[in-house]
Amino acid sequence: MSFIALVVRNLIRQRVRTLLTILGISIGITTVVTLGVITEGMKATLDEMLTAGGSDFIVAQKGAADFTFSTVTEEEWQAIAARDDVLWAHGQLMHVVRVGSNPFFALVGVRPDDLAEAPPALLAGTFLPAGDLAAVMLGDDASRALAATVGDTVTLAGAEFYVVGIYDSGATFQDSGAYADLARVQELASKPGIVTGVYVKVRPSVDPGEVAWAIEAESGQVTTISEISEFGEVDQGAKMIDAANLAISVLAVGIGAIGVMNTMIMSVFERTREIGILRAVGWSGRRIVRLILTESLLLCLIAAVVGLGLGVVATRGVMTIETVSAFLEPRYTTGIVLRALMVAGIVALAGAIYPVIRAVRLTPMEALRHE
Amino acid sequence: MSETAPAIEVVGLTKAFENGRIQALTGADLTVRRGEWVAIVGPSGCGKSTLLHLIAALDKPDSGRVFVNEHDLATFHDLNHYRSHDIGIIFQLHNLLPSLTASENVQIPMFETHLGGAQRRPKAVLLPAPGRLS
Repeated sequence: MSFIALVVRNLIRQRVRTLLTILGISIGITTVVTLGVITEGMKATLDEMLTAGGSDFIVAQKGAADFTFSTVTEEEWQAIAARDDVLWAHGQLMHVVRVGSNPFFALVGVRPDDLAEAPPALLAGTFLPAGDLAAVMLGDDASRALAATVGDTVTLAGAEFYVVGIYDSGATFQDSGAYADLARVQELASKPGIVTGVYVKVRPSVDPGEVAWAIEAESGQVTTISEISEFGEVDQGAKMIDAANLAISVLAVGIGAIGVMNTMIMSVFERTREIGILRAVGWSGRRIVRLILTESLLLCLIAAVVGLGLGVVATRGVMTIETVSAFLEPRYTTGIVLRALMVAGIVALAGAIYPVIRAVRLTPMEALRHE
Repeated sequence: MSETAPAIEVVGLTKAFENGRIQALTGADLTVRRGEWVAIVGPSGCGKSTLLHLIAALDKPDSGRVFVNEHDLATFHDLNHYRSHDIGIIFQLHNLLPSLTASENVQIPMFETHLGGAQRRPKAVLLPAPGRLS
């Protein structure tokens, strides 16, 4: 009989308690995994937005509650575009409207010349013709959702557009939306002379970081974003989700640890006499510690695997909601698996500390006398 | 260690329980020579089990000394090694691990030896078992 067989035997002895403990911990880990997958998906969406069209960074309003609420004036945009170290600066107005069952349809206003300069992949039709305020390009996801293709007419934000092209930018949020002429979108959004952000590409041999720093220094109203970690400057939602993720992880650890501690204390209490026998036949305190810790770790490892599986199922469930799938794709990263295992490990150790101390403090006779 | 030296020598052993209310041993002496079979008899509660528990290092005496092969148990640094390698005790009650088979119960003390899992099992089967467990 191996040591691990003894550990498994001890866990199997109390099947119901073991299963309930595993279930309790795995629910916590499921939450951590699901939230992690969604957060990673959101970050990927933000990253796709950030690098759309090959820009080096985005200029947006400093301290905006949400990126879509950011306002940058056309004067600020033109000042950036006029810089010698900037190759191009494309202003975009993101007008988020409900279209069909998608409440987050991004109708993006761009200047047709700008779109041609940094274009998404064209799947059908043509790019936006200059000066045609009724033309629209649909993302491939939006085209499928609206069952509309080149030549069809669609109603977006209460206005009729005819579809001139279908594109695939590779970014979930953009592909669920559409491009139209900036002037038309500004009119529909009642934001004349305003863009949400300016996508900036600097000239070759120029350091984008220095340009970004200079733009921020010149205007106290805007900030630049070149990495996802900086997105919190213009989107408090990203910060809130990160904070919620951390809080739920801490809660999962706390609740899980109490569950494991309860199980292990019960187990050690019931087996006090057996621990006495083990001590009487020469088992060292260290081996007793190993026995209890291994039981706790195995319990939590199984819970982590179950939690990861349930997390995938839960995420797929969440992704069936069109509102969510319209702007993010789930991302299953190694980091999420590691986080789940880390939570399980911390729960196992935290839950086993007190039972271990109690078991080791007992002398063989104290344990043997226990009824 | 001389050939004539006692295997076990107990000198002036005392042990009390419940804050001295129960005096289990009051200056017990015992000498067991190598190869000798000894039976300790007495009425219930006279301290037979307490004496054996102290010799097996399962408990600590209040005073007195237990020598095994001329070594004072009080000076042993590793009583676990002593319990697993040098002494064996069969309890009055059936102190077995109920989730394990008889053979696995026999293997339990071998965890503290150099024997691996594969070696423990055949050794447990080969051990002479008076009143063999089933």
